Amino acid sequence: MIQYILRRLLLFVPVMIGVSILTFTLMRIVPGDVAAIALGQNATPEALEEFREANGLDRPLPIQYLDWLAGLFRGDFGESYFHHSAIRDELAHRLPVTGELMIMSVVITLVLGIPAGVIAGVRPNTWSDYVTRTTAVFGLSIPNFWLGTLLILLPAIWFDWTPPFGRVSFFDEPGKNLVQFILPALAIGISSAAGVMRLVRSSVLEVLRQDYVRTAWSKGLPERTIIWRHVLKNGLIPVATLVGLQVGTLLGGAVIAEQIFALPGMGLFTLQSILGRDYLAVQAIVILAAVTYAVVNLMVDVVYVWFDPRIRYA
Amino acid sequence: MRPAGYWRELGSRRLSRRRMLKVGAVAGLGAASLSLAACGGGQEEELETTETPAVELTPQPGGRAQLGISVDPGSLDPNLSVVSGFLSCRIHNPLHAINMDTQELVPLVAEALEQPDETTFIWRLRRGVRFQNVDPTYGREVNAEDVVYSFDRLKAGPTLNDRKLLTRYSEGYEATDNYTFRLRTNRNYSPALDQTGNFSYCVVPREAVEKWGDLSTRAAGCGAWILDDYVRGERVRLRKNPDYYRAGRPFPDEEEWLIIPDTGSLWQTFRTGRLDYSNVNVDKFKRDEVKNDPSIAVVESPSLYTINCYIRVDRPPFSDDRVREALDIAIDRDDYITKLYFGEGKYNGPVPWPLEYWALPQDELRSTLAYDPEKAKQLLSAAGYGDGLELQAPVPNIGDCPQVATIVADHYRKVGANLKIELKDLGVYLSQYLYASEFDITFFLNLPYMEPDMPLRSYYSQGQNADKNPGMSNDPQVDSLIEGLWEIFDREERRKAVLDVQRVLLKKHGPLYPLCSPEGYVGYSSRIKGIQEGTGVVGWLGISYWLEQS
Repeated sequence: MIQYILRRLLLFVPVMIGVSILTFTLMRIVPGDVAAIALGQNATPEALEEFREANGLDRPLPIQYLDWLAGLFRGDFGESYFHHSAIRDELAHRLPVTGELMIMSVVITLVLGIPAGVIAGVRPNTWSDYVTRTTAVFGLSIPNFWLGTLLILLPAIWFDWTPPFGRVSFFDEPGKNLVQFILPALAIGISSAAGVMRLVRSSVLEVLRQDYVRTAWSKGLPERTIIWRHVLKNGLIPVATLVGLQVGTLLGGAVIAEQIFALPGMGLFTLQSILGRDYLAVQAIVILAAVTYAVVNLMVDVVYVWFDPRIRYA
Repeated sequence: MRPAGYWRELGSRRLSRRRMLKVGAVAGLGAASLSLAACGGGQEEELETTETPAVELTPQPGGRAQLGISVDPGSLDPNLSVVSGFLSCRIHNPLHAINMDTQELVPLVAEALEQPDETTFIWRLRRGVRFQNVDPTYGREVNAEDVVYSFDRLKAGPTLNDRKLLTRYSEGYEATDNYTFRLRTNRNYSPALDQTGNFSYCVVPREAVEKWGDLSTRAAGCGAWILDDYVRGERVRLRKNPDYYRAGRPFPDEEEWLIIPDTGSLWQTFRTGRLDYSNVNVDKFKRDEVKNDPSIAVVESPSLYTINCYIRVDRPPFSDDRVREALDIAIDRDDYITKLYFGEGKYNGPVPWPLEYWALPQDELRSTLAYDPEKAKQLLSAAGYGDGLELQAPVPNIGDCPQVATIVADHYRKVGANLKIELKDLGVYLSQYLYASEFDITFFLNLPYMEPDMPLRSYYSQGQNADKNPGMSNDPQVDSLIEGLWEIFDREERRKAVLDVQRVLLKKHGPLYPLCSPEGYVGYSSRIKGIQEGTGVVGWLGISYWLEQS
């Protein structure tokens, strides 16, 4: 297992290099002159040239790439062309926001999705199954931007209440922080929970048909023990994959939730950087996302072993 | 200096021009009487003003104002950022400002301005104006060299702020002594007074720029408010400058500007009482929502950020006068106002209507730009497009630009012109289409301006860089007319001349088709009193209002 993990970690290197080359190239290929965008209509040709020179954009692309890569190894992601602030500082400010939103969303996903899926799977074709499946369909169908808007609008209209805006850190004001994050986490988590619920239900149904489960029933084990210790553990393997993918996606930022709830996370930053051709910012974000996906995938693989000890990695 | 983000944010920016519109039983807002006294006739009669006698209110110091905006200023640097005027004017002040309602010069850092001849402007600085008592200025006095430095900085750019005065029309400027700043122009240039009263000419301290590189997120200004904190995407926190040269101002102790990008969330947060102000446009549906809420006041606040329609006039089809006129009168501007602004909007001329002092009267614009599809068809037919006309329209996917293009396309279809709208990413649109003038017709937001020279020059004459305007129009008569305005220093005479020039421009039907701007309203909580004694930069100083202390 250790060897497997080490091997996977070593594979990160060529994967990251490939991602970095691809991102760098794609950003340069996308049309739109960053100097013209940055300096606007007022810019003279001399000013445009000065901008390009100051930001190294007039150098050959391989040199730009190597320079950027060298900075990456030093932990220096460069400076934003628009804000003139270090991208590292910007990421350091936004990652905790996205991280907290991601954690809360995943918790909601699991807390809502797994029990609902188990209930539906253990009691197939009963009213509880129909109710949970119907709810899951709604959850999957409702766009999260609409749900997010409703979560602001309905309390405002019914109770004359809106969540407090102006982000505070959990460590400064935990209560206010949780109130700020719970609604966007719900907006994201509910639709993810619906997907998890359906997956858990079908996994549970499949596992319930296994011989060892029949053996457990015949041994007279309590239902709770059978479900939670034997059935669920084996049924959660595909859920681990799904949640792993969700974590990776969320770390790229939930643009809509961030916009509606005014959370300064990675999503809005990514969008602004792409639209503004802030090359270095986009490259840093993509690298970060790639690392996250790789790490999360590795963790999911490790978790598989915990769920099913029969799984062994060569 | 963030053009891409700046363009995207424009749609919700507001000009801080305030007149009281009474909605609901809001009593005792003395600013109503102030504004009614300041403005003349016409427009006020259209407002639903109630007959409230002028009440003398005593400002109350103290309190914390919570204000919501949907726009992240991006940068608070007054010399380099065009978006942040409403905030940077709180932290920094220019030499003077022009009250856009009364056209009076309001002395700020300068206490007096002399103009011994038409090309010389001399500002006498007010003694005792100090930079804020923060690092690195520590309360030192503002002097004329600071003004030189600030002007140099603006001139060097790069910035979207209009600085033609410094780059093209300035003979030179200098500090003749510690408290005297002199600017000479290289020709008669009457817009100099308006332009130097703009926030981009705010006086900044050299030592702060040298220490921090720029003033985008840190500041030490001479304004009424000290910047405590600016976290991009989150908030701006200001506190009262106790050493401000207008003693006793500002009245509140603190301001917190929360950045809430979603206007729906921002409106609800304001409506539930968490904010004292929101810059969300309070359209008639929202006004209906709050009409019985005594804790909310709605104030007229038209926006200068409108969408322009540019046409390329140096090549077919718009090189033909008949086509230009046809497609101008084929736009049903009343329908445009109905669809885009729910019926609450007005016609723009070459100078948009919110710049009321310089704008053509509404009845004249409605008459000149009257919708006439039959005549449009005849003109197109005469020009050889009786069988139809195909037009390429690259349109950026920001703000209302796509909707505007769709509305106009619908109007054009009725006269046999087919507008092929091509939605473009903003970065691509700016660099490959707008700046390169690669379009038959396009729709885009205008740059901000508070005086008429900039829109007239930028869109009809020399353009931003004095080389071309977006529509590639090259009309010596127009150039001459616009330059002729620079010779007129008497304000009222200049106004008449500006109106006359606009009439000529409208007859030419291009290179810009003026469209319409919404009437625009914003909301304040009723604990805010004394809203703005003036408009534009004067209003942005943040020194007139106070919070009712319960």
